[in-house]
Amino acid sequence: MKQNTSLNALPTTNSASLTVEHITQKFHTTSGEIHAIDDVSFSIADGKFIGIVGPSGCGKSSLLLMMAGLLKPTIGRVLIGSIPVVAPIPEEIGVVFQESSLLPWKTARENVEFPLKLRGVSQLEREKVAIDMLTLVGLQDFIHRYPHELSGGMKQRVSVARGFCQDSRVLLMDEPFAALDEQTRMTLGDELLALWEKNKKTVVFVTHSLTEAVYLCDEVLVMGPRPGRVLHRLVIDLPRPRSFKVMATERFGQLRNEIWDLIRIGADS
Amino acid sequence: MSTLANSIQTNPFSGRRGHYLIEPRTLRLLLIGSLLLLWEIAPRLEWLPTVMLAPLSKTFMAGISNFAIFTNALTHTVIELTLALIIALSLGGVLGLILGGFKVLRVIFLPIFASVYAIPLVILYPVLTVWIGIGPESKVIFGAMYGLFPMLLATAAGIQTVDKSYLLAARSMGATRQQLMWQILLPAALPAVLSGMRVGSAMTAIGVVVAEMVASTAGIGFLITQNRTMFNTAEVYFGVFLVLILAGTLDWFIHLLEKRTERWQPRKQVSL
Repeated sequence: MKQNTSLNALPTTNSASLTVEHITQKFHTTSGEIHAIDDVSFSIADGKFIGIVGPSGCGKSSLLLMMAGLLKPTIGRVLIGSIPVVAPIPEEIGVVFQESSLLPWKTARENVEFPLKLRGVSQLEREKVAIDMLTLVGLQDFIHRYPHELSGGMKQRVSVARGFCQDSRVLLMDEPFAALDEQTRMTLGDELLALWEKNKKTVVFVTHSLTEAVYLCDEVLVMGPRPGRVLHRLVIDLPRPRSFKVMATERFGQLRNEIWDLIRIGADS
Repeated sequence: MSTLANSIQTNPFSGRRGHYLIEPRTLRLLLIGSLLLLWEIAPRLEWLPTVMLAPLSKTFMAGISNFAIFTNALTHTVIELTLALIIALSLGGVLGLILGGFKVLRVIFLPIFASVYAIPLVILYPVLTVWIGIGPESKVIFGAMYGLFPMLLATAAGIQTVDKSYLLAARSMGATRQQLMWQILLPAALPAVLSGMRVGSAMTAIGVVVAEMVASTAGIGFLITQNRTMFNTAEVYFGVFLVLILAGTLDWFIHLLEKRTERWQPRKQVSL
């Protein structure tokens, strides 16, 4: 019983979601103070798929770490519902990292069930959840493989499965597909959308790829170069469910260009 | 001769390793075999005086005829070595863990330990005997001193070089400090720790035997020195042989441990 409550502890009635309030980030280096993020505020409605794009060094990854409670902002705060995020809250916020943060000494299954193990979920139960998740991302035949025995795409599928396995309300994704080739990236994007359509988590997706951002997201936050700030919040009004054909539409191109223009102007200013 | 020729001719294109003219394994066994053969015939044919090298067969005969003495000595050495290993590896592991985990302590102490490691510790042995005598305690402590530093330094290095993304991911899943230690840091540092154990245990064996040789009343090292002063060359070589067996056994134990990480660590060796 205890395991069950820990798995489904979050109240689903709370429609208030992730709020970022006046976040500013400064840090000191030997060559002086760096103003990384400047007064960023936004809020995200429950169940939305939000993208964050911007040039390298605009602080989008730092912002994500702050939203996860892994990094303390110099000024400002992050709220989940009405609770301030000052430390990781795994039941509420899950994170999928770039490249492989999979543990090399654990098999695919052991990696996926690891967040549940940390929470003290019983072996039997977490094994079942992990195998279900791996099946959902098409890796039912690779359950007992170690990360080094998997391809790049498979590893990221395991990472995504691990993120979903936590069953948190919010999933933060830090360039999860950045290291993959174009085709694998497209396939994983589609799989992610299918998963998301099923359980409508709130997803915050940091990416370099404008195509990926437009294809996946409901809204895209465009950030400018250091000190990072939100230049614009763009609503992606493409119908769902989406398939790759949407990329050939005029609207898709318009939205993509719009983001590109924003980034370019931001870089000049 | 014909078997030699055969093994060269049959091996070249067998299986995946076909590009070797002779299997490395075969070559290694051949090399060891010919050295053993040389050990037997060199003194017999008087290429070397028997006082310098006793033939292999005589060496073993010496071992058999003094069986009780050698078993007694071996027991002494094995007990001392075991105790020294327990101290060296556990203390070295724990200290390495602490130094690897806490930057302040690392900055203060690691340079000191690294310097101590570079000192030939054997110069301290006479001092040690003044303090605690020439009994088994001094062998245990001296052996432990020898093995402590490689274990400590390798563990600290292993902990320090753990990929930070593992820690970040685990923290995002709500891992506590203890969970980070046991579930992330330790398993991630395991290959480095094992390589520290390998070097550390070999050093401990050196420490124990050297201490026995310098000043003691029992043990293999003692037997070697004693017989050497009496020109009992065969007995000396049997003692050396026993030390080799001891070192080989230790190495084999570590190898067994290392095998367990091989599955997720293909061909990636952490060396000290």
